[in-house]
Amino acid sequence: MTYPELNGTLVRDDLMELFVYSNVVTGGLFGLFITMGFFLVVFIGVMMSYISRGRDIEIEKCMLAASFATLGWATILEMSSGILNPVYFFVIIGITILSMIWVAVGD
Amino acid sequence: MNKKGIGLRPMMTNLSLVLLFSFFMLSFVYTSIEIQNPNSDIFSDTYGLNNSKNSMESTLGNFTDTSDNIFNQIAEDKPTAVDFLFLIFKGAFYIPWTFLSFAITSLNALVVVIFPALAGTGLGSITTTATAIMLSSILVTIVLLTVKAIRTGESER
Repeated sequence: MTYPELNGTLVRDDLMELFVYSNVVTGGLFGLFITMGFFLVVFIGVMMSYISRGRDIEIEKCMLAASFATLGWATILEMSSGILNPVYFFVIIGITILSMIWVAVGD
Repeated sequence: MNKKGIGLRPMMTNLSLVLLFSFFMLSFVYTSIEIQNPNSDIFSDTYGLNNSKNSMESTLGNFTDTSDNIFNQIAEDKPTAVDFLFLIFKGAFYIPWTFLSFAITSLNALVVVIFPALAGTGLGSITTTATAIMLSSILVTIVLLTVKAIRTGESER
């Protein structure tokens, strides 16, 4: 497999092209995995926060915090085309709205 | 579930906040991406973000229309007592109707965004069915609360 050359991209004009390049090289997986990683970091971080305070874990609030933070991250990624597939972006919107409804109904 | 959230009114308050918050969230996402990347794929008709934002904004316009109507009627040259009486009755029905309209179209706008997102990802019909049942129950709750508010006279206070 031959990777596209970095010199042929617009990296010197726009640093976001580095992400676009990474996404092209990995066949569209880079944007998805970095978003999933961000979600997991926030999700586990909120859970650890619950544990460190000695409280019971409220999973729906962890979901809401993680999905909302991920939505902000995905919005930044969507400001440049070619990094995050729009399908994944709308999945994040769906998860955020469903998490909000879960918190509202469950509390 | 704790007992604080049980009951029609707390549930409705929470869900109204969800609708309002979703509106702000969608507006923020739409506007910020539209400024930075107007040619983004997420504005295509496949995903429905345009439709849901437009329908939410049009329902918010209903509040402005109601307000304009009432101010216009108050500002008439020769308002009579009958006009004011009629205005009170009209307001008693218009305002709940506008809230109901906002709730229903907001739910519709959320469904327009959620369902295309879930449909293509293989999350399965169970999620879709569960969401449909949940949204239907929310709708029935909104209608029941509006009927209750009108019957008990809470909307006129």
